[in-house]
Amino acid sequence: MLRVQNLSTGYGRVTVVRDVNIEVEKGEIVSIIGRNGVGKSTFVKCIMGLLKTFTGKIIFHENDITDIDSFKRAHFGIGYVPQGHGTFPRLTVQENLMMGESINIAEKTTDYEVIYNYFPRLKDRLQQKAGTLSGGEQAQLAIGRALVGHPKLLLLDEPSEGIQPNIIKQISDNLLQINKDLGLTILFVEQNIQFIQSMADRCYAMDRGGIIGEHASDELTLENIKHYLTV
Amino acid sequence: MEIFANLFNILYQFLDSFSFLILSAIGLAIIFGMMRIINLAHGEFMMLGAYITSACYLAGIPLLFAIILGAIGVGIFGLIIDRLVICHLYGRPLDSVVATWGISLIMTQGFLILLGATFEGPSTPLGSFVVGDRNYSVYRILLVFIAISLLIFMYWIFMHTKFGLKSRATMQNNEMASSLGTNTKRMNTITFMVGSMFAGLAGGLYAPTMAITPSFGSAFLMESFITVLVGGANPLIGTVVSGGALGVVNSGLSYLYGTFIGRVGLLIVAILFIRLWPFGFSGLIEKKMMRVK
Repeated sequence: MLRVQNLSTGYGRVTVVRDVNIEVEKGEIVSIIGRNGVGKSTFVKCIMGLLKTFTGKIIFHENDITDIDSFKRAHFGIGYVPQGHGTFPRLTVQENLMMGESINIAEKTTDYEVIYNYFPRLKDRLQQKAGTLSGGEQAQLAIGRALVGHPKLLLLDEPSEGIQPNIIKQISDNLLQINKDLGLTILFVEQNIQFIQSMADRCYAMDRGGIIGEHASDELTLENIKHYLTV
Repeated sequence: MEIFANLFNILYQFLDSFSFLILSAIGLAIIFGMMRIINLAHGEFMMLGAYITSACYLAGIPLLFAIILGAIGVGIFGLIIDRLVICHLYGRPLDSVVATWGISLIMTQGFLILLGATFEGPSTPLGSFVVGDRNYSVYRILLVFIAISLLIFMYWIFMHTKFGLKSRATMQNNEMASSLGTNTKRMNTITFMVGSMFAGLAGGLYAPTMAITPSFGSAFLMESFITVLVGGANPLIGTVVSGGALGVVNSGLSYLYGTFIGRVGLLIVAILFIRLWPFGFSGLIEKKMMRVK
């Protein structure tokens, strides 16, 4: 579904991510793990089209999307939940959700009731401004918003950041359920060990802007993960 | 009876001042609020609207349609200016000030060279009526209703259409809106066009009440910028509240001490806001709304 070949990217003239190759198959949940500042977010932003690709290729569903604008990548069916959730603080919860409708223009919009099933709290707060929600609710809103557009691939950048542990568990359970129900492919960046272990089928480890290891879920032992995450 | 006549006079002055502030600010407020572009050529966009309206009227088109053509004409002009100049300046407010100032100079001087110092405009339609011992213009009363209708129309565009939603989202977080499939460049272009149309419309509406000269826009410059400044970034809440408040200040002081003091009052309010509440009325109101819930 997603093939990234020899990708390099960064900010301005500074290369942060070098020669990265990854593949994500349909229906898979793949994680990219690594310490702070190794280039995980930069890499995801580049896939979404928010940073320019210096060299290499991004192939999504047999389409070369390396050089197209981010809004067109969304139209192709990539749903993105950025670090810090990226909700629109002065729009209501409902308006935030409606903004997701333009993702994957080939497919019909997902029924809102489906979204409320996974995230019932959102339904209670439809008319509330997103800026007044708690961190956990904002994460749910951001994920729900991406799901509204019926994406083929969901890109999550540290969804657990700044959220209390019991809500993290709830969100990862929900995402697993969504993956099972809708066959949604998920690629996520994460540092939370629990989250990684409970979700990932496979994981790439990143350090200094490059991929330094790849593991299947049965190899994702605590020691293994800690090895990549500790400084 | 004399009390009634006096009260009516005060009310008329207030409404006239209110509609003038709203109409002169509305296009500027949209472009500044949604795009963070300060359009110093705003007055000249209004001037262009007045010229197009006058030219159409002279060509025999009824005034109403001439005004609408003025708005459309300035909208198209705004589209061209956006593609040529403004689109390169998104996210660079100071550069946009310099560029649009340049555009305003070119427009004023260009009109002076091409069309001379004055241009024949339509005369004020609809006549007048008498209350007490004073004459009042029916057209100016009509402008009040038009100003209010335009505010409602703008509210509808930005709060109840898909375009409005995307426009507000783009304003709050450009990258995120783009990642969700919104073509933010196109949103900005359309927003600039809509703002230009409102400016052109206001110019056309005031064309029958003023002399049509290349410096037509300068009559609106101070009022429009002060209204936007006092209103803050939100073109919906800000323009209404600040138009109302400044209308009271301007008409009250003008009634008591004359037009000059009325304008001085506006400037003093502007200075107070810059010092005390730099985000204007909409900043104050939004802060409150975020806290309540």
